[in-house]
Amino acid sequence: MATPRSYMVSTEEARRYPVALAIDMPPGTRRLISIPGLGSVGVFNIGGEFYAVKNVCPHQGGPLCEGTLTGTSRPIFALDEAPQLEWVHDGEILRCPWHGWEFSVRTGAVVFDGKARVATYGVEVVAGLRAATTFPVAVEDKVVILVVPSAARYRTAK
Amino acid sequence: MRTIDCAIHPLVRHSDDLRHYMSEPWRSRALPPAVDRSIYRPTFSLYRPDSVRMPDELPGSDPSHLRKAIPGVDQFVLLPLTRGLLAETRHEVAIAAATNNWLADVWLGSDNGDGRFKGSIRVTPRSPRDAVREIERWAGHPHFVQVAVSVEAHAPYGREEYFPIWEAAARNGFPVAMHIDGGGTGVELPPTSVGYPTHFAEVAVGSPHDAVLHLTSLICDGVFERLESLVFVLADGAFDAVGALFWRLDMDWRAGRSEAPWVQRQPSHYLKDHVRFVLSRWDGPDAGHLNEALELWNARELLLYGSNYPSWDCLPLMEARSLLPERALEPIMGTNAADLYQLGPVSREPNEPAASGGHPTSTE
Repeated sequence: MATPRSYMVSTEEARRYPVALAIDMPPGTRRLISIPGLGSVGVFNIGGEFYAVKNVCPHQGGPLCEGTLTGTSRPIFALDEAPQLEWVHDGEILRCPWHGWEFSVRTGAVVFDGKARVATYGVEVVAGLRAATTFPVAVEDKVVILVVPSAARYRTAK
Repeated sequence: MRTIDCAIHPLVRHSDDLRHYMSEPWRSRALPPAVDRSIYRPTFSLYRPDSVRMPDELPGSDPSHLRKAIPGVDQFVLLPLTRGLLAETRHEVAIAAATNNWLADVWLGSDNGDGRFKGSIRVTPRSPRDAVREIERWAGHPHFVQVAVSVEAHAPYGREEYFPIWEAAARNGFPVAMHIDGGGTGVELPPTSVGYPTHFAEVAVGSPHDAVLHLTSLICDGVFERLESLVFVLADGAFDAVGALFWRLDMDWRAGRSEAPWVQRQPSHYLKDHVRFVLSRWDGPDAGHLNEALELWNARELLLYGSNYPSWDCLPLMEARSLLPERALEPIMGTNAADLYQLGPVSREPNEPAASGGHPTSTE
């Protein structure tokens, strides 16, 4: 029997914060969670995978994680007609509500050709305390955990 | 120091001389005048008094007179103006072709054996097929170095209907220069979107802005992404206005990138590879702040000296030299143009005076 990992464990390297029950965060949903010493973080379920980005836009500090979750466009070039565009990364792109800058939720990188980037954090989905049984773990028992490295906390946002 | 004047605007000696270079029916058709077409006229002369050789001739119409009038210049890039936008586009096409015929004959012909005069191929953007044909017609000529179009247009130059023209220019290794034609024939759009200004000076303020709008169109419609070797030359200045406009464009591109994803680089990053500005008249900050302004906007790589002769606001050679910081002198006065137009060195005629304060004439 495996020892369940306690989701309240705080180590030197990182703290683990419970965010929500996995069953309450289906794909396409998000939660905002306030982390002491860090600030607000947005946790997103994108197609069944979880990602977390800081809720501060690197442009002018806007509430990035409250922005629209959408896709973006990519160019198609042909020599004998005007450029066209195709829609890509649907549901993975966060647009800051202040100036519309686009960020990939998966990587934190800004979409336009530039170096801006929003901080990202790990997210684990673990079985809850009741999982220490011989029965298969049901989805109702899973918990979304935000993993915040210690170095990220108490760092003053610039 | 190698000196290339990138903005000379020669005229025919008499307005109707252009007819000799046309065939019928255009040869007999009413022709808009070569000068004085604009509804905005300054209270002073548009042309320098010493640019006229004979009293009944138009300014800047004599090649040997010009060589003497502007000492100290190794090569001249000639950019003749045409006669504005016409309702009958076929006539406009004929005027452009005749202008090229005249330039090739009077300025770039047998008297130009030393290659000191280089020319621009005038084309008519409102008829893209004719424009492509005209570019192909002159592509092999030893002295045409660029294509030239008017700033006045009915749509910004990034729009798709113009693309074949720029493609033909790029394919033949020609930069494309834009310059105000001075319109006045009635088919140009109103000068502003707030209506008709009252005075000449107000309209003069707008013209660099119009050239920059073509530039932003070319960038934002992805033309420079599609044509890697294409260079546009803003032959009417605008360099001292472009900085602030591009700050705004860069800012809005970051927010609006998904609307035009074919703008794959920050807009101002296209300037170095795809745009040059003729210095012509420097309206910019006074000498105290000039160095910072030039550094801020990368003048050293983007500027080409051009006098705008025979215009009244022509920037004489020595004044340009005294304006520019030392480390920007050689590129702006000559080497940027030599690279852009792929100009080999020429020797000055032995009896030609060197510019005072400059180096003695020498072959390179």
